[in-house]
Amino acid sequence: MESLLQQYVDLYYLQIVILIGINIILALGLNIITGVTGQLSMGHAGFMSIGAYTSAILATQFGVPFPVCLLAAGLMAAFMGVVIGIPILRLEGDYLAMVTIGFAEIVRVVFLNLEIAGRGMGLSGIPAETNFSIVWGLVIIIVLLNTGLLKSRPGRALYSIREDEIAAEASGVNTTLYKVIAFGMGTFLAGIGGSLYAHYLTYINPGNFGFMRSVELLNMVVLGGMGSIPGTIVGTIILTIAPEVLRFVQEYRLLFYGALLVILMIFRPNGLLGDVRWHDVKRYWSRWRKTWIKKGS
Amino acid sequence: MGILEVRNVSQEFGGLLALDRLSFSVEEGEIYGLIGPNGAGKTTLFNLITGIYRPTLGEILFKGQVISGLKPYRIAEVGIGRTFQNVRLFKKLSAIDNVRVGMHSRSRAGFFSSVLHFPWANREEKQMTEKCRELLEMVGLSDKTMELAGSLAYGEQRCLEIARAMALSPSLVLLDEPAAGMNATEKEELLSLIRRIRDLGVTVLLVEHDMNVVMNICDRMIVLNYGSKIAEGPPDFVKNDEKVIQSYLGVDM
Repeated sequence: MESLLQQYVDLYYLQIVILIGINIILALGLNIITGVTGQLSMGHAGFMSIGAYTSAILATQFGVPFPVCLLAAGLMAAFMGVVIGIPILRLEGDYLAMVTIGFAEIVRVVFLNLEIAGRGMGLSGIPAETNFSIVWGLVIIIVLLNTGLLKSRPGRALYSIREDEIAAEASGVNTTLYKVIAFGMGTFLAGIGGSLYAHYLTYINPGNFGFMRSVELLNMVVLGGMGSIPGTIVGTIILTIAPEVLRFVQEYRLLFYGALLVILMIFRPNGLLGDVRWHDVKRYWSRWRKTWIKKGS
Repeated sequence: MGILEVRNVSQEFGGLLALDRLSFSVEEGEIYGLIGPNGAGKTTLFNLITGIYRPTLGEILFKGQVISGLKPYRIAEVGIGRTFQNVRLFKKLSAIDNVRVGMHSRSRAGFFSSVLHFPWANREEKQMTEKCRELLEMVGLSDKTMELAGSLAYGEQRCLEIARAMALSPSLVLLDEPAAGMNATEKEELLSLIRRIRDLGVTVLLVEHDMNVVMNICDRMIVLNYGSKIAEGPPDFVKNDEKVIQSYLGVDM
């Protein structure tokens, strides 16, 4: 598969497609926390770095095979997510955002000073295991599971927390438990994404996982539409390709981001696909087809 | 002994006594009214029963078991449903999904079997959907199942909230001013809806400002003023009570 792709597809484009896949996994994780459950997390890069470093340390210093590293990265990030989540998920909105920013910053500083993580030098020589089939295979599995989640009873419970926590609780939803579950699932995906990222770059340092990384991931979810899986995917694709297309204005990239988000908030406050429902799409489609058939006959 | 017993309950908010040693008992299968002027402590009492606050003093029993101090979702699980004074719906979910969330604690399929959509979880989901449709039909929203809750008319939103509370299969529902903002026809329909709920064997505890509604439908009622009980009994008895007339109906004797 890989050699076949490399034969026909330019390596540069292939790299971007892989990066899109990694970002989709990361953004879908954040979408569960922020988009679906409504808990504003601005420290997703922190959990991503936990996954990346776990995987990199296991692979370079203990020679652990890649699939085990990948799983360990996800579990480690999820474990930290749940441990941190239990106390901080009592907070709401802006306060939760502050604490998650703080947590991600602490994680960054810890890796910056940790001997085994290579301090400021970072870790190099990570085996290049990330390829097209692994990334997109995982994307497909994760999208399917994620869709299954959102269409199930636990998924509705998560949405109800975003919509109205008091009413959710009065309807019998254990909101504390479900918020922690959402945080666990979201940070698990952050860990998986981080691991793929480490084995894709083969070199990581704490600078890869700063505050701007978290903001970038949040932008992908907000741009696409909070809580929508197709929306998150579209948002991720746009924001991953944008810097490549805008290479000639590289330094002004953030300017572009700002402008894009402002325009979006004016014209589509719920994100590109945030308020588009499959039910409505089907209804419009059948209505449109009926009028079209009438015209034809 | 009644299905709901409030025993000597007091609630203080930083020195302000919102409820003062209140006691009353609601019998199974009746429609029990709760009236009183603004600030009398009606909504505070609702929030105490549903676990949003924990009483400063006293205890609340449901079917003979102490429920004061339980978390709100546990109180929903034991069978107390409620609506809110200012409608609290899941606005961006469809009407039927709002009702489905209400059925959350009545589902037996586990987390993983639901997420992976195993056959038995799907079967249960189908039964739940069927029951949700019946509930929506009961409140007169059968043609709006897929509408977003936030796009429904105000009266419809109130009815949807009642359907969501009924989805718990509760033994007791607390309705916080269900007739507020409704027109005369809607009020008529609401009255018959509340009677139908009672006929299903569900006890109803009702806060209401509209005297017509309360006097018409309640079997018994309690009148609060400044956090304490000033009268209790059937509507006709309460209507003629001097203290009630003075403090609530605003007539000088």
